Amino acid sequence: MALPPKRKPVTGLQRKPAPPPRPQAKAAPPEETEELVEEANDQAESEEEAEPTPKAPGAICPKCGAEMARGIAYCGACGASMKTGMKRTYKPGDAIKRIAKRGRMGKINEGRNTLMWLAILNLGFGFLLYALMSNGLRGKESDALTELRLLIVLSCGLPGVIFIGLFFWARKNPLPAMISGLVVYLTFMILTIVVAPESLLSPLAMVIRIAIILALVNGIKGAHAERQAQARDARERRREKAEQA
Amino acid sequence: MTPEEEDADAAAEASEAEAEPEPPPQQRCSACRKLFPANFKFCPHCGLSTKDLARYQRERKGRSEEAKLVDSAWKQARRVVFFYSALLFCNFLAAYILAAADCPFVLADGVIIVITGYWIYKERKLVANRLNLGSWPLALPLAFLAGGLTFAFTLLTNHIADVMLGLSELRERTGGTDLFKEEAQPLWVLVLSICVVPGIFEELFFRGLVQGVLERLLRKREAWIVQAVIFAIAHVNLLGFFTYLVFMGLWLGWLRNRTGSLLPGMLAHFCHNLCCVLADHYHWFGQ
Repeated sequence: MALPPKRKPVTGLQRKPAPPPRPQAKAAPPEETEELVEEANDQAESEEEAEPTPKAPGAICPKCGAEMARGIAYCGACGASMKTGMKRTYKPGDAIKRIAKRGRMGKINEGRNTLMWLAILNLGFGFLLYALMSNGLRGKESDALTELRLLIVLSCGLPGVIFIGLFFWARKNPLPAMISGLVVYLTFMILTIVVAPESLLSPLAMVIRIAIILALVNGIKGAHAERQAQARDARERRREKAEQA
Repeated sequence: MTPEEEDADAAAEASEAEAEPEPPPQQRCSACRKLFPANFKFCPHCGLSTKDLARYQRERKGRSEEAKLVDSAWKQARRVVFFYSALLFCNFLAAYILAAADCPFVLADGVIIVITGYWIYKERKLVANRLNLGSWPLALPLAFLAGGLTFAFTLLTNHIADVMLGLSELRERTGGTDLFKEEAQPLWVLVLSICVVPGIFEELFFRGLVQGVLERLLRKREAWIVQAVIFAIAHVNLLGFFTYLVFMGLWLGWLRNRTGSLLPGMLAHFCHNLCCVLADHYHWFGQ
């Protein structure tokens, strides 16, 4: 069973020189094929910045004889590796699974980053508020300052600490952490709306609130789908093992 | 058509495309995000067949199995979020609007009774299975012990916050209970509205419904932790969240998991709240 190897993120910045051409290994025995395919993939990773230029002929597919651009890892016509002439061993659903997984991970990241942004906004806004207002209250009675300190710790500091904790939990286990994050955020939102109903009238605040809630909901959906997919893969693997035995 | 013929056809197509003077139209591989000519049958960068990619696009347009799964998950979480928000919003509204009136207890308690009752009506099975007295010789002493221990823990953490950290003012200001003007009420009203009704209905809401619905979505241990967090944040007592509320939620959830019933939790919750009310009313620990 050959799972597709992990690919490096494409930055498009580093441009490595092409490695020297390897001798063709068309008649490789089946044990070595996978290794060779892996090697070909690794090479492809270093070469994938090079755009395929159909005008510059240079490589001929060892399997079907089609002329391909230099620096291409797989023949565009038959899918065979340009180095070994072997097709990459994919199972039929693998590509779909990989694409779907990327979508899910994107959603999870969205929710997780929202938790971090909530923490940063709360703490940063609290710090800013404290600095500005304590400057304005300098020389006045100290009761106002105490009151202010209390207010800021309550409305910005403690929620910020909670969201930081939830962010680190979400890095380990996204689904429960994001459900908790959504509930905690809703609590503060409802509290704000009840205490200061005029905040409902500010369109910017409402847009931000809705965006945060949607991002967290998306994260919950993605994390749940990821969990289901992992369970499904484990089931399939078990079934395969049972069939082999 | 044999594979060789297929390959030959594909090769012919590819060479035709290369003979054209203009650069051929490009398509993007959905797996590796690289551009390659539209007439290729395989991505030249990762070797994936375009058939696979086309099938994925079709599935994504239609309602694929995965999308349905996601929706069912959100349906479960949505119930928790919706009922929790409704409960919190109505309770805050009741407390703030009627803080000036003599007795907002009636309204605040009415809100929790109505919302929990409606949800129980929708999810009868979740609660009905958990109102038995199954192993009461174990459950009854455990419940009293739990109530006493929780009260002791609350006292301890409050003491630590007051004396060691110097947060007594913060603690007094952040407790939600001063909304209710406790001093003005007779004792039986306090007991009924702080001990009996929350004791019963908070248990039904958090341990019965929230934890039960979350267990369909999460693993058992995760549902236990998440309901404790929800229980703690719902009390809007931020210092309490960091000192005793989360542990209280965990403790009561453990009781529910251990005994399989909500009754010991109700009893423990009632004992804890009763101790708090009596301590406040009779000034057990000074002013």
